[in-house]
Amino acid sequence: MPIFLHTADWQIGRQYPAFEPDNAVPMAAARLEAVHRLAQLAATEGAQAVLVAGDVFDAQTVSDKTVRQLFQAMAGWAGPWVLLPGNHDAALAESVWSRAQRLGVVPPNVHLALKPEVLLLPEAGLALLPAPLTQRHTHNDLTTWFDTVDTPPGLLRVGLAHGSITGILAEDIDSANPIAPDRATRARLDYLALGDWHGARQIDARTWYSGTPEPDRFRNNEAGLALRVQIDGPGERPVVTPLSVGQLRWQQWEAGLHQAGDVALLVERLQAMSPADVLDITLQGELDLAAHQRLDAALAEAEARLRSLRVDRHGLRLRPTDADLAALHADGYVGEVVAELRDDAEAGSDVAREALVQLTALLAELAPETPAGGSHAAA
Amino acid sequence: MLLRELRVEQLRQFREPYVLGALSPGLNLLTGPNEAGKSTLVRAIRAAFFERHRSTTMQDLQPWGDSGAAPAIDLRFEHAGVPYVLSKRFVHRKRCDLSVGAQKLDGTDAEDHLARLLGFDFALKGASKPDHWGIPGLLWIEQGCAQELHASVAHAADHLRGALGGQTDELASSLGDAVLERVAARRAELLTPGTGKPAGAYRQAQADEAEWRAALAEIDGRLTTYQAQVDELAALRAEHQRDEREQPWLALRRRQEVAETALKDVASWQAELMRVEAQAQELSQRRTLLQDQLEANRRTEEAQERRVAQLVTRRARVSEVREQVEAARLRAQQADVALGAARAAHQAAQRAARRHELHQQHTEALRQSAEQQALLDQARDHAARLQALRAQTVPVVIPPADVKALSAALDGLRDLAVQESVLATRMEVRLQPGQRVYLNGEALEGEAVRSLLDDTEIDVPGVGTLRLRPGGRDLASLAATRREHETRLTDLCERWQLQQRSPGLLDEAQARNQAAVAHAAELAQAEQTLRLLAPQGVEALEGRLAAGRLRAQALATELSVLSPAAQIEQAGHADEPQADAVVLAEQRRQAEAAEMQALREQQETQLALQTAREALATAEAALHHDEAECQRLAAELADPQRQAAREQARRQLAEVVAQVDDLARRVASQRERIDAAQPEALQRDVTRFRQSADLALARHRERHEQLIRLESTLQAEGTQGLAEHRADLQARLTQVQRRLAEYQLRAEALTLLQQRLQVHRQALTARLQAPLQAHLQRYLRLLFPQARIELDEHLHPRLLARGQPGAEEHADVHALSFGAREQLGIISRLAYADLLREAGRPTLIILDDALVHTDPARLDAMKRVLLDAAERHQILLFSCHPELWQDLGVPERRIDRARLSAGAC
Repeated sequence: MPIFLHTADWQIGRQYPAFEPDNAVPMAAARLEAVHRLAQLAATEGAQAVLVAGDVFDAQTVSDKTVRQLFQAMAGWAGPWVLLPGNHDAALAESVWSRAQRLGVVPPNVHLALKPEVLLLPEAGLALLPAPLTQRHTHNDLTTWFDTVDTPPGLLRVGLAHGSITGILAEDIDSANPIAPDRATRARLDYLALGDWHGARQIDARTWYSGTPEPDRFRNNEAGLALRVQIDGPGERPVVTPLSVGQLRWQQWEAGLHQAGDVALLVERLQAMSPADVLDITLQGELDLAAHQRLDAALAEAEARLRSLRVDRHGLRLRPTDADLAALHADGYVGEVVAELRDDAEAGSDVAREALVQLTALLAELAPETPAGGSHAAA
Repeated sequence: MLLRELRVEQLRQFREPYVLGALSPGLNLLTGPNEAGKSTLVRAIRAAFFERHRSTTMQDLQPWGDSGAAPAIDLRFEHAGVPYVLSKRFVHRKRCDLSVGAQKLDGTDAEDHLARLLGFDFALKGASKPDHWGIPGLLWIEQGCAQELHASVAHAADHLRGALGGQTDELASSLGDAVLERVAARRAELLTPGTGKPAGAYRQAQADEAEWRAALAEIDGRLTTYQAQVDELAALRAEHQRDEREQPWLALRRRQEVAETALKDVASWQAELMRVEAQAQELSQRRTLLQDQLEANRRTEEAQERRVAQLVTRRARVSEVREQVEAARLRAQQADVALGAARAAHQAAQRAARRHELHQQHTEALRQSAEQQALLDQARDHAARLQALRAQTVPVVIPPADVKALSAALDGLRDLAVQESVLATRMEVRLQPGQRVYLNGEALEGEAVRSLLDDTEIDVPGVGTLRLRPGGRDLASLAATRREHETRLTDLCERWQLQQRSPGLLDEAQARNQAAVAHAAELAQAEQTLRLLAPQGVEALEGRLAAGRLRAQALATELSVLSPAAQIEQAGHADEPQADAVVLAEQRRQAEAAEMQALREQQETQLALQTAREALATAEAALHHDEAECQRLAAELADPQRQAAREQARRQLAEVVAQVDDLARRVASQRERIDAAQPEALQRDVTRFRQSADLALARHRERHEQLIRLESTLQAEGTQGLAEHRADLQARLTQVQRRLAEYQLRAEALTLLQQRLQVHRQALTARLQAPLQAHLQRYLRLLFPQARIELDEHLHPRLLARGQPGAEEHADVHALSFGAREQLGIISRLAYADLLREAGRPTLIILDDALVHTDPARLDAMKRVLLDAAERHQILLFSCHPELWQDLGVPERRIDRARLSAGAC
């Protein structure tokens, strides 16, 4: 009753340059953490093997330290790990794999499937047919050879490949490495473990994408899982169970803010977020001074609390009311300037909007005794 | 405000009470010379208002030297219909009383009331200073200060703003300036204030952005290189493995060996060819040798035939030449005879000519000898005469100086004798006969007279000796002179051997001199004559004569030897020696020519004979040689051994020719075979295949090395963690770009804000200043028609624009002339006064000697300005130039201390 874990797209060494350094570093560390968790899961689920369907590393030129860290993370489970090169870490003439071998960090229980040849794991009851990428991109179906090769009877025929199932994932795939959609049937496979697609996805009864164990983008596509595959014997139907592995939740919101209530709603949602959240908010609408200040406060608080918070305010306009301005003592010529900037800001000038924000902030500083937002909030 | 009356007492030059009363509401012209007290009155007004009566520093108000004086000032004025009386005393009995209508104030209360009313402050301590003076400081213009406006306006600023603010409160922003200040400060954090270039963190962010971007590009380049190298490695590996498998150099080596074998075969063929060719060469040489031998035989036979033919010719030639020799010998004998005859004729002609010549020479020699004999006789005579002259005794010539000295000495003696005869002691002796006395040893007898000049001893025998000593000094002196003359005379006579005692001594000397001269002349003449006759001496003449005679004798001898017959013949023809000589010379020439001709002919015949003999010898020798040669050849040709050898050579030649042809055919066929094998192409093939194999192997090895190098390069580069490094850089770049965008937006926003605030503030300022501007413009029109003035935000005139609108000239007020600034200073103050008056503030304008730097035209305009202002304000115009202001239309009040102090008040 062989049980194995199917995972892929670890992308170890991946950095997050678009994020603030204090957020990006833990996000990168979370990827290694996922490997630790997989090792734990393999033990607790009683797996006989862990199959990694490509893109173990994010790049060929990750540092030696990163390479060592990966193999150290895998040490938590002593069973057989099978690592397949993907498009990010193809088995090129010189590759991260040859480097790992040179460094001598690959333990005996870790099998590098660098060549398209049958790999037997009799203890696990598996005959593996790997289709490693030996170029960065290929336009041939590397799994074709599965059809014609024989494996010892009694062992499960399990294919291991990295690429896109032709005709199904054409739009969103990471690379152009094609895989025939009926490969599992044609090659008499018990299971075809695929990588490259970052969300878990079933193609047919015997063909699955496991997705990445740790999400790395905002697209909501069942990321952060590993697949527990149980096949009772050759020819038997696989039982596939998704297991949660990932730590971080990646979310993208769009919020239209037009009145104080909208802000209050957004603030509530923000308060519900946890330090495991990576959040991206796009704001639109227009707010008076008080609501604007409240929004600023809530966003600042959330930014400190969440793993990462990014806010696009481009569509948001500050529209101080006359009462706001009166409260700020924006009389005389300053009042004239405020009015003028407000008009320009409404006409779409980012500079005028920023100038208005600066000016109102200055006025608030200069007249601190006036509770600018208080009276308005009640209105 | 209307000042009615000013009274001062014990104040500087006003020791007695002085009242300036009945001041009118408008313009008051107060004049007086310097020191009259104008400035003191102005000072009094200032002190009355600005100085605390308690002040301890008011001693300057006291009259000079009067420390006990208590300066007092009393003022009466009205404001807003309320009468004010102010009475103040300083230094001693200090006091301040003020009545405002019915209200009475005193002390500090009174002073503070006035300060509020007029708009000034008191000094906290000590004397009042300009910064306390407020409105009066602006309107009370001190002497020479009208053009200085800034400080005065600043000290009155609050009051002026107050006057303006009453109208513009609603427009003024309570926070505007503070906001503007902070905006400028925040903008200065991001941009340089002047050029608006990024500064501080903004600039740092820009620099960082550029740095990270460059670093990222660099690492991207490295990654690209790395990937390209990985691909290259894969390609190299594939090629290397293929080579290892296929070993392409082995096939090349095999082809090389095949070509080498073929080449070896060709080489052996070539050796064979060379051997045959050598054989052919040898045979060919032999054939040539045989051919040469046969040819030599043939040539010998031909030569024999030629020589036999030649022998006949040579014999004919010998007999012919012999005949020629005989003929030549005959001609030579004839020529010898002819030559002998010609030679004899020539000699005879020569002798005849010689004889004639000798005869002539002999005759000439005889004639010359006769002439020389005569000359010699003459010379001898003269020589004898010369001899005689030289033998004569010649007196010695006395030099003229000595003749003169002689003459002088004689003259001197003669004179002395005369003097002595006069002076000398005359002694006359008359002795008895027989008696004798001795005068200095001289015996005197009978009668004698003596002149005594020297001491004289007279010895009278038997008696004794008388000593006479002639008296007188002169006598002694004369004696000395005489001795001198005599001595000189004696010397001269001795020198020249003259008879001293001779009476004609002098004549004798002169005669002797004349005789000497005559003798010398005669001698010179004789010498001259002899020299002419015999320049080289008489002996030379004698020699020449002897030589001439010898020659004549020799000629005669030669003649006699030549031919006595001819001599006779010659003598016969002596009358015509000239014609004879010509004929003889002609005969001689002809004989000579004939001889020469005969000689030439003789030589020619000799030469012809010689030539003929030589030709004979040559012809005979050739004949002999040919005869010998013919015999030798005949013998040679007849040799039987030689005949046999020739036959053998002919046979051998035929054989050799056949062999040579055979070899030539063999060589041709061998050549054809070698050419067909193409040995050069084979050689090139060998080289080509060898080099290709070497190259293939070298390429294989090189590729292997390249592989190793590339592997190590990639291994090294792989450990650099480029991907993570790149991501790190990308993160930094994204950060800094985000920050940069924020800075940029913020900088632009602040710049916009600053501009907008400034624009609105300026607009507001202009609105606020509008009333003041209107007042100013009113006066300005009177001074500069069509001019405009701009105020800065501190209410100072800033810019003066003159001329037509659109073509205005702008001038900064500070850059104007002193006069113009003074005029602008006054009209500005008048405008401030108007503004203050409208705000209900009291205004009093005091001008102390203003406008002295103003030209007449401007002054006229300023008078209009002042009169215009005087309709609204009281103006006190103090001046020491009353003539300038006579056309103001107001009465002039002269401040005359003496007169007024005496007058009643």
